[in-house]
Amino acid sequence: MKKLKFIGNPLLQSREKINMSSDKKWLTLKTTEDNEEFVVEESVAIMSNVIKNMVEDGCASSVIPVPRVKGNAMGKIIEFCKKHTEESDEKVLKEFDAEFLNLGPDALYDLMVSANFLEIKVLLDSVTTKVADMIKGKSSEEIRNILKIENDLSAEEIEESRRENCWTRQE
Amino acid sequence: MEAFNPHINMPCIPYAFTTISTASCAFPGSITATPTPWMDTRIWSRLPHRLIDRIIAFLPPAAFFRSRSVCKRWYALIFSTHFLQLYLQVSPVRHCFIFFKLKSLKSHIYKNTNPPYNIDQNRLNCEGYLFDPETITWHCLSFPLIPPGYSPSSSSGGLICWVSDEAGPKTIFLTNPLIGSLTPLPSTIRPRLFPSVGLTISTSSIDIVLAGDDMISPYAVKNLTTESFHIDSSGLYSLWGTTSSLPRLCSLESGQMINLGPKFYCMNYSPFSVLAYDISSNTWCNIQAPMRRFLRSPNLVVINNKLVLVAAVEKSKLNVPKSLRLWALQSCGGAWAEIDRMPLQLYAQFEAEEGGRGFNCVGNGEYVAVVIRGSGKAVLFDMGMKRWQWIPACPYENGGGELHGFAYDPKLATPVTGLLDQLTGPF
Repeated sequence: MKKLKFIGNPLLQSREKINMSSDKKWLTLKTTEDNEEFVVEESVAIMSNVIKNMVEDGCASSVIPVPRVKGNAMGKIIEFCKKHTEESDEKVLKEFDAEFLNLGPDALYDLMVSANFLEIKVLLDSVTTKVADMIKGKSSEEIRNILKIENDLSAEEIEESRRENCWTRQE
Repeated sequence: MEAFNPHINMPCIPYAFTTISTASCAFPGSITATPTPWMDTRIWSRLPHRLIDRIIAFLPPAAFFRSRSVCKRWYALIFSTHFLQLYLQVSPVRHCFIFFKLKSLKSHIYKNTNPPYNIDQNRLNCEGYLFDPETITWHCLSFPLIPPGYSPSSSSGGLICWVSDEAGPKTIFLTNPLIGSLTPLPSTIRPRLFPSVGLTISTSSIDIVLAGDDMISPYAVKNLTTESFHIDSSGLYSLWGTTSSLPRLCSLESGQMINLGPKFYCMNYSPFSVLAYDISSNTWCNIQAPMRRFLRSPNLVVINNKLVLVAAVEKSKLNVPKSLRLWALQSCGGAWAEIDRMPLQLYAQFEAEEGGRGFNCVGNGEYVAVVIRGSGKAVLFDMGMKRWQWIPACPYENGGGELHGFAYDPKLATPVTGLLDQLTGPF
């Protein structure tokens, strides 16, 4: 049983009700991991460089298979791209992004990896900024714990690095 | 993974950063003793290196340098061309200010030609104070490579320009304080005392203009000419060969010329007007200043890509309250429109503090810092949020001395200096 998801007017219940006007092109994106399908305007979908290249090269048939991206992430991504295609006011977009990225760590991680895979620069930059903001206040020890990085610097090297820059003093 | 061996001849980074955060609110995710559930290692340890590098490229400079002590791979990123290319592509622009202790110019005129540089002069040169208007924090940068006898004159594209103090043809070099690089330029041709300096650097070009203070004799100075320097990646260059005459009877105050688009601007005094130099046509023109008879301490800054004149207005005869106003130059290039003024209450405080000494302004992005002469006190104006506030005193600069500032966008890499390497021999 296929599940069709429509990102757009929440009142629309079935495909027949969409105004398939000739000036708007529609694509179906299908996440191959969990077989969810999303019907999306082409202008929104091509915010992804990967999809844009497929469309331009003429490889895009009616249904575009998207590997490695889960259905939840795809839904969020389409919501983001739609807003960024429709809205041009910087301030409104900034507020939207802040609210949009209020997600749990699992969702944020999936979003980051998917945005990277689909090559959606605006989304990747937004998520990266958010993660960088979380990291920037942390000590080296905390960062190593979070990212599971081994400390392979010798005591002298750490001391040299600390001498070169005294940022480590957090007051 | 790149190997890091401290015994290999790696360029060492001769700077020191210290930071004191004066913001009262704690950042979310700031230092906590126990890891917050948000930063779950089960999730984030799966990040591929490429995405980790991207996150590091988004860190502000202070956090970036702290992150270097995480592991060898992160330590070496600043030397990695791969990382720096990613950094140059994605790193967001950070609009900051850098302040230096003002060296008294008079001490140069009255001393003999070979002054013995005392330790204090060297110490003045050794420190710059970075102010981030977004987080309202101060940081201290050291400049140990700068030889005595040079003063900071301008900043652009992440580089700071130092000009020799001694009268005569000027020697100039560009430094990137974050990586401790120092790149000399060929020296200028005409002898000058304290010319106005304009600098604009993009990712593929460098333009420098020196104007005025021509030494017509060893003891006489006149504002006669300009010489400019240009080099770009397409191969075009002019090593101070481009000269032009300044408009007659102009009176410049030695300082920084402000760049916007293809032009440099500076204040002309008695009467107040704005001089504009067009780089491509090598010509000067004069723009009338708004309310020129009532201006006090006019300054030019660039805010949000517009040329803005900031000055105190005093109409002694009319019943107009004293104020500090900002006017933006309109696109026609000849008319000004008032865009904002300091709230009256704040101006009363400001004026009391200033005591008629005058003020200097520095602008970057959406911010303007109004620095009172002869003191370390300054007011910050955020044009985006229309907010005025006193800037907390710089914690590194004790003595409340006068600070002299420039717009500065810190960058970890400034590859455009490679264009200069081919020009000059060993320094």
